[in-house]
Amino acid sequence: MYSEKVMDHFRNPRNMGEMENPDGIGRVGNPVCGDVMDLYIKVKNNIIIDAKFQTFGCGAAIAASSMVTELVKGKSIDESLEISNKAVADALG
Amino acid sequence: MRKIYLDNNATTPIHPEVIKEMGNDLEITYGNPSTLYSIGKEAKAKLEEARGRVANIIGAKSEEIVFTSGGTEANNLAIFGICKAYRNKGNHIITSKIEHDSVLNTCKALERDGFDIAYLPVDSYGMVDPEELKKAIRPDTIIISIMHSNNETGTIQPVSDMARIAKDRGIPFHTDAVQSIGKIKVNVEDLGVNLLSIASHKIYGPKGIGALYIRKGTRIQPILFGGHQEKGYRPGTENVPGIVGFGKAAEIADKNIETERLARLRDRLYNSLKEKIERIRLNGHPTRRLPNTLNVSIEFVEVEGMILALDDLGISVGTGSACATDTLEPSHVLAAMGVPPQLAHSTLRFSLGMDNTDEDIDYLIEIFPGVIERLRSFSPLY
Repeated sequence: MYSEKVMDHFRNPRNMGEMENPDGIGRVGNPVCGDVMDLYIKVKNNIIIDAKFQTFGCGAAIAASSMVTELVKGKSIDESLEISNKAVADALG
Repeated sequence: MRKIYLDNNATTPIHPEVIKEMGNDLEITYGNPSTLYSIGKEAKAKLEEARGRVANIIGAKSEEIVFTSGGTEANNLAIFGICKAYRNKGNHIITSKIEHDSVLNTCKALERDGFDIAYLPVDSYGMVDPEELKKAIRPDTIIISIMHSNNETGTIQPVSDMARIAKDRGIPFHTDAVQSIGKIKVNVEDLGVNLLSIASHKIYGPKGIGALYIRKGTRIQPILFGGHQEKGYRPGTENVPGIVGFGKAAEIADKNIETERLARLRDRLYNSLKEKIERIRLNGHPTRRLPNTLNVSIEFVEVEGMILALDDLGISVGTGSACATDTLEPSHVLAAMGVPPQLAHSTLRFSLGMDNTDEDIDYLIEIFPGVIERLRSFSPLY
């Protein structure tokens, strides 16, 4: 079962939706295996100033996407690349 | 908060009269039915009364009912038991691709022991074609096991046609009727099957009890060994309270079969959802289907999100099958029907039961489109 924090990010995902004029878009997964995530970022002076997502996937996938957008905001590109699976899992308790 | 239970194909709530009967039994008739003194004889009488009630719901004779620990054991006993009895005659088994895991994994276990298994395909409605069965039969086929109706889609199989084909060739026919009993009329004489599985917890009875119907004259060996209980087909001191509850549930289900009412509620639900939600499709046969079952794919929304969001609103619904919930593998039933994997990931099963009312359906129709709209806004595929 999911933790309260995961359920909170599933029920009230942060930064959910498409971004207009993003500086970068990434897509991972595919609908056949059941998970697809689109991540949008806006970058200024090498800092991610905004991030948004859309995810087709289970509750955990949506919560993880939401948490990732929270984690990358305000970080530099290099710092963001350091964010691991574990960091996201830890942040979700 | 309003609570609406719409996963009756996974399990049903226990009927209040069943609880009453079992409570009485636990308190008073605790005796071992195999003993000679009066308290044991009372238990034996209760056991036989329950056997009669279970036999009645499928039009069988009492002596053709063997109690088991549930549908899974009934399916294991039927298939392993026939294979043991007929092992000298052949090693070919015919089943279908859409069976419950308790049949499929039994067949896979036998496959590892050297048996040959034919898994019959289904059409896009999830229906087995009796012609396919005819083609699959070999001189060394010793059992055919095809479910009566599918737990995920509710599609009802042409069992009597297939049982006739089997009978003409002298091959024992087993049907897993766990999902059909209590929802539609099932009669072993009309079907012409040799073996049929039933589970109590799908008909408002307790969990942990079921039965295998074994037509008189069918050659079958036990798979458990011990005492003489259940004529040696299923040794072990009987689960009398469970059996008594099962018997009561069967008696009630036989009287109160709700085919028309459930079908009306279910069709109203689907027709309204179809009007309010775009890109929704029905899985299963449009008419030859259990009256309580509605399996739909709602494009661009992943099933777990739907289940969690509905749970937050007090509504319990299932994925195709409860067993698949843990694995997140797309359903083998939908795959066999040719449903693409991405749609299978977007599939929800509503299964109605005796407690559901028109008000429940109204509430669901009112809130569900909003849930879908919200979840679709999360989806990059929409």
